[in-house]
Amino acid sequence: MKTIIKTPFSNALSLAASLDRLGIPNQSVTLPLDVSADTTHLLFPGVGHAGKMLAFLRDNGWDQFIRETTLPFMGICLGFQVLFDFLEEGECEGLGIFDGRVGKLALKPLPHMGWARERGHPEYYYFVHSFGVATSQAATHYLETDLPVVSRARRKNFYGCQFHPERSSETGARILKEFLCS
Amino acid sequence: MFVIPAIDVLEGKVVRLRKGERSEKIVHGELRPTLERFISAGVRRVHVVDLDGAFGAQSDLLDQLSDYPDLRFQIGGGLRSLEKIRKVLARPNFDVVLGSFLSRSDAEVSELAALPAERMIAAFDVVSESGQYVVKDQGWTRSTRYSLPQILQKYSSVSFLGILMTDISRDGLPLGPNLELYQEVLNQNPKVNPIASGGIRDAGDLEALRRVGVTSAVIGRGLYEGAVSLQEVIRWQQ
Repeated sequence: MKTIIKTPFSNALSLAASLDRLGIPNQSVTLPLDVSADTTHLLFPGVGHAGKMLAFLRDNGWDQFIRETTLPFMGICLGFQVLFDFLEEGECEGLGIFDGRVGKLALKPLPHMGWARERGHPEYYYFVHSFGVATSQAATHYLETDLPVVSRARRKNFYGCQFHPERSSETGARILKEFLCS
Repeated sequence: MFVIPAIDVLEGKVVRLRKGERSEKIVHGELRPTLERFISAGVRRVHVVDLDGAFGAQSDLLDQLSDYPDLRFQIGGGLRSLEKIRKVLARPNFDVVLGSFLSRSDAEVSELAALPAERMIAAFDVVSESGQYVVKDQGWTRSTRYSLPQILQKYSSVSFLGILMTDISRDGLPLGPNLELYQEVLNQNPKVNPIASGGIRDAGDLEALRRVGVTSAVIGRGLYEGAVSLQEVIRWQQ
């Protein structure tokens, strides 16, 4: 089973619809207790304010659950950002899975919204964000911008992407399938 | 926080130099077996100081390291020209560590414009002198024209992968990392990724660095002399 972590700060519905379209069985849960025993992959979408998201994670025991899980885990957009060490928005400590700090983007205009490519790769992905990570040792892909912005990162069983694979047409579907079939 | 094992390489051997003197070297092992040990433990990134390069000698270190495509290397030592920097960056799994190149007196920020910032680490050796941190150069013997705040200000428009800062007055002393140094830098430059180096004794020091907001740490001597296990490094890396 593929399990989506559903918080008040996410577009879990659109991610679930995207998995449905791919014919991948999935469930959405709001508490760690509800993660079924047959879960093989976790997806963590997020949209909104980092400080509020982190408070929600702490209040519901998700912070510890995420730090300790050994299942393949994918954070998306804000769900990706809260995996880093520090977040400027809300001036708070993140979950510390990836090294680096999330700050207001130096790009103009904000939010950075639309299709964009990663450095050295021809595919386009759909981005909507005002905050981002400039550099990280965990980064595997950067946006094709003058100033670096991390597009994807990986460490241990954790993956994350700044873009929205569920809104990135076929290229996004490929990212989801690759992760969920890993 | 991310922890990266460091190796200093001289004539194909992993060494440590006392006070930066070539004649005062302690050999920790051969290069290839060390890298192979790292790989089997699960290390993904290695910080490499090319001491041959730093002393101005030729070496085939880059070619040797290229035999390990699964590792990502941060290469420092002797990268004093754009040509040399480009040569390292031409290899996809190599990043560069720039020290003297940035602190030399005629350095221009614009020289870096065409280079990928996310593959460059700035490295500054500092000493506290009359209340401020001064950047040292040339095997720690020479003061540059910069204080640490000045050089950070100069390069503030460059989004380096990280800024490696070493308090060399603590080198070889069991005092632990200089937490105040990193704290001070972060207070003044909240967007940088500080990389700690020097004086890390044990897992407790790593946790203390994480608490002050350091996002990476490079560990060399602590690893070879057994105070920090490779397993501990992996816990923070792979």
